[in-house]
Parts: sequence; structure tokens; C-alpha cells
Amino acid sequence: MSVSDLVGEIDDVRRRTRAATRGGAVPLAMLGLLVLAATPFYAAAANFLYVGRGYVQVIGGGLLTRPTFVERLLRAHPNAYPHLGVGRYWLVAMPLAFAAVTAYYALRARRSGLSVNGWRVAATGGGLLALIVAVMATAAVVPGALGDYFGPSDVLNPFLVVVVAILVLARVERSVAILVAGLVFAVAVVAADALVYTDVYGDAWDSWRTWGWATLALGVLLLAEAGAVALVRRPRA
Amino acid sequence: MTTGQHPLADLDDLVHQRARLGILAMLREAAKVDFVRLRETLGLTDGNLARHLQVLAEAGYVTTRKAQSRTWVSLTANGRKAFDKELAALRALVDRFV
Repeated sequence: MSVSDLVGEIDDVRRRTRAATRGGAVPLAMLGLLVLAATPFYAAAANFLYVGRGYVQVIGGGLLTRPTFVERLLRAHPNAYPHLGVGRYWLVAMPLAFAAVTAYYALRARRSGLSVNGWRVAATGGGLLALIVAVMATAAVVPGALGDYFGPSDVLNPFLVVVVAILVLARVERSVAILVAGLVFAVAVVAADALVYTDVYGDAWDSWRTWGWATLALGVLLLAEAGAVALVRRPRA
Repeated sequence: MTTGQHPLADLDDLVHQRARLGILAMLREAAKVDFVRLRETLGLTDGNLARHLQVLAEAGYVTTRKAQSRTWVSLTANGRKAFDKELAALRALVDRFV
């Protein structure tokens, strides 16, 4: 065998192995479903809140000027009244989604005999979620200081966890397509954050109603991206 | 190639063996590869593959771990460097003679 044949054979083994390890579209779709399923919670929350500077008014209820730990914990982002379940949804559904991603990779490794460290997606995402919970739990909130409540720390929100999880997924899968999908989703999240979720001053009523639509759009975007990643032509196995 | 010498000088006799190059090539693309998958993909016998893995493990290029009745093989940092260096040397040889 010539040296060039040997190099060609090595390249072929690498290409076939890489093709067999690819499967990032499925976890990406799982994260898309996670976001999509949050839609009714955000839609419901939006109909019951008026968010002003320094306070949150529950329609038909009182002002929340000193949110409790539970309220902060369950706030997620955008801010939601705890009884409406947005926070509960993320705290329950997100760990379940990461567990599903880890289980998927474990199952795939058993079936194919190839492993790509998919647990890192759950480890990073779960760690970041825990950080958010810790920040919310320890943040100092004084009466009338809800302005801080909506400050820069709002960057720490569940959608950010999803963005970071996708970027880790791209790294694990060594996939440019997933990296692009993650960056596009990140831009969409920032845009939704600026244009919809936090834009509740002035023409607030419209903004409330768009919370649900924005979440729906983000979920659909992720699912579409998962479809696109699956359709990216795979190397011949 | 990492030196100004002839590319042949950069070849590593331990890695250069064809089956070992195949093993390292697969491990370069996955975090862990099952023994059976390696054997079937590379067309080796159990004994032959085990012997090659032993040589690579003794050189510190791969590690093996048994879990749930399977043997998982993974590349070490030294193994990754050795494989990349070998492949670069081989490509330099091809370039020199093309």
C-alpha cells in the first residue's frame, strides 16, 4: 500500500466514524420541544401581569413590591406570577429535558459503540440552571426596588440556559450547523427579550399578549433548526 | 512535519502500523469507541485488536475501561498528539512525492 493510499484510508475511517457519531438533531429537537411547551405558561402569565417600573401588578390582584424567594425563584423570565406556573415549568421541565438528552446519548452509545460525551450538555445546562436558581435565591430585594429585579441580572433566564446548552451540543457534536443554529437562536432570544418580554411599558397590553406568541416562535424556530440540521447532507457512512 | 528533516524522520514506528493508525483514527473522532465496534470496523480478530490496544496503552496513547459488559477505548492527550503528528508526517511525504 502506498503512503497516499494509507492516508486516504485513514481519512476514510475518520469520515465514516464521524458520520456514525452524528446525531445532534435529536437533542436539538428535544430543546425545541422544551421551549415550545412553555408557550401556554407564558401566554397565561402575560394575561395576568402588568409590569411597571419598580413593581408588578397582578391583574385583579395587588402590587408585588417585595417578591418572596419563591416568587423570585419561580419568576423565570419574563416575570411571572408564581401561581401561573412559568417558574415551576422551567424548574421541572428543564432537568427532565437534560435527563432525556443524556439518556439519548447513552442509548446511542450502546447501540452504535461510539460515544461523544453528550452528558456535557446536561452538565453545563444543569449547572447554569442551578446558578440562576442560586442567584435568585440570594439576590437582595428591598421593597420598591423591583427596578433591580428587571436589571441586567435578567440576562440570567431559562432561554439563556437553552442557548448555552445548544452551544455545548455544537461542541460535543463538532457541528458547524448546530453552532449556527445556536447563534441564530441566541439572536432570536435577545430580540424577543428586548422587543417583547421586557417591552411592557407604554402599549403594554399588546406586549402581554405577545409573550405567548414569542415563546411559540422561539420553540418553532428551534424545531425548524433541528430539522435543518437533520437534513444537512451527512457524509457517506 | 515538525522538523526540517526528511518527513520519514517524523514517522513513529509504534503508531505507523496500519491497524494502530486505524484504531487511533476512529478514536480521534469519538470520545469513546467500543471494542466490538473497533474490531468490526477495522476487520481485526479479537486477539489481534487486543494486542494492538495493549501496545498503544503501554505507550500511553489509549486507555480502556470496562463498563456494563463492554470495553470502551479512548484516546489520551499523548495519543492525540502522536496521531496528529504521524498524519502530518504522512501528508508531508505524500506532498513531497506528488
